[in-house]
Amino acid sequence: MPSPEFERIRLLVFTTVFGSLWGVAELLLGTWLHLARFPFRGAMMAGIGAVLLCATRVYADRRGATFMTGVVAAAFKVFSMGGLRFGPVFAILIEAALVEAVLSVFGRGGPQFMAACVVACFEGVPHFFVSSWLLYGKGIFDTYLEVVKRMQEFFRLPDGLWMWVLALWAAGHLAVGLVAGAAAVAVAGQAGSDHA
Amino acid sequence: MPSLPPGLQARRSLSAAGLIFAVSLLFPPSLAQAGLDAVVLLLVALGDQKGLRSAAKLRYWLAPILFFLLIPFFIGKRDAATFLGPYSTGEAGRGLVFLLHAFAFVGLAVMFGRLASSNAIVEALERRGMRALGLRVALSLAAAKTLRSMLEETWSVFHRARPGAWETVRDADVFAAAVLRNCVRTAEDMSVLLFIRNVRV
Repeated sequence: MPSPEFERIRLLVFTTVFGSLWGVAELLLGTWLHLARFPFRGAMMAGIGAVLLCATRVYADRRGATFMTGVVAAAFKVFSMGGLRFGPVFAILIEAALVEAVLSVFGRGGPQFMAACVVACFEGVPHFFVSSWLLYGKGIFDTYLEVVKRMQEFFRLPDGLWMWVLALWAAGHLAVGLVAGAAAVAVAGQAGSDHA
Repeated sequence: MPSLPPGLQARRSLSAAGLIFAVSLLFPPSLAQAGLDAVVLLLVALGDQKGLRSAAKLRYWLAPILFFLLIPFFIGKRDAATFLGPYSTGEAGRGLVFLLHAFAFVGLAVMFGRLASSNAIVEALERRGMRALGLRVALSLAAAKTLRSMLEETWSVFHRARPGAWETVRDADVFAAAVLRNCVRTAEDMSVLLFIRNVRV
């Protein structure tokens, strides 16, 4: 039976190593996706992070461990970028907080991991609106809507097309979340059998 | 009266600028919001001129400037005539307010990033109950090199056996499981090392 001290060290190390893995993945894959202007790159990186957070919970099943993994990933991002950039750092922290909330309230399990990943990936949708509000102020949404309406008129597109585009964009985030959730369930299942 | 040390003056400018920016968020695009944002920029300039200059690089602003310069040709009440066609001065004014607000936000964010040193962030978080964060950060940076090598080697072995794109996607779960297994192995080894070296948390 491992000593409590060893368990404390293990908890610290596992959350730190998995957080660092997320940070390294952001550095390697995130940069490539950003340069290639890959669609839904934010949701994809959120999905990878959510899968790692769920895997961490298998090895460090303690309240707060998941959020701490996210804090490490965010700190890694700050140090690797050489300064604080709000967008990606806040996104990582919010995603970690959401996954922590889901797993702490509903426990571990396949449906819970699925839900946690979907919630983390969907965070990108409100994130866009909050970022726009912070950057340009609340009047920017009227301007965006006006531009969209003019484009609809110019290209003779049906009214309300923008709602379909928005719905499609949100559905894309949901789809990425579902794929990440399936991956998290598979990975956690594998981790669980190795850990048993 | 003795002048404040530069660090303290910058921090006070940042606090005041942050508060005024938060108030400006409550206003619609208007002269009032523009006035508040101008005050924010003045405070940021007083606290960190170099940071403000770095936030003003044209390559960051070219796309939004073009966007807000051109959309008055298409939306709003076109009340002015230009050689390119009718132009909305109202929308142009709103665009300027948007750009000023965005510049104020970015200037504030850059100033905060420059003032918030890595050590200060770690100390502040540890004071708020996130114990051993300094150790975590040090461990994270040390682990990063190992993890990066692990990822590259695991990918190299995986990809060598699966050169095609379809095979890569089909067996992605094998790659994920291998990365997870190697990561766990690294973490277990580090845990044992810290324990036997009597590092306590």
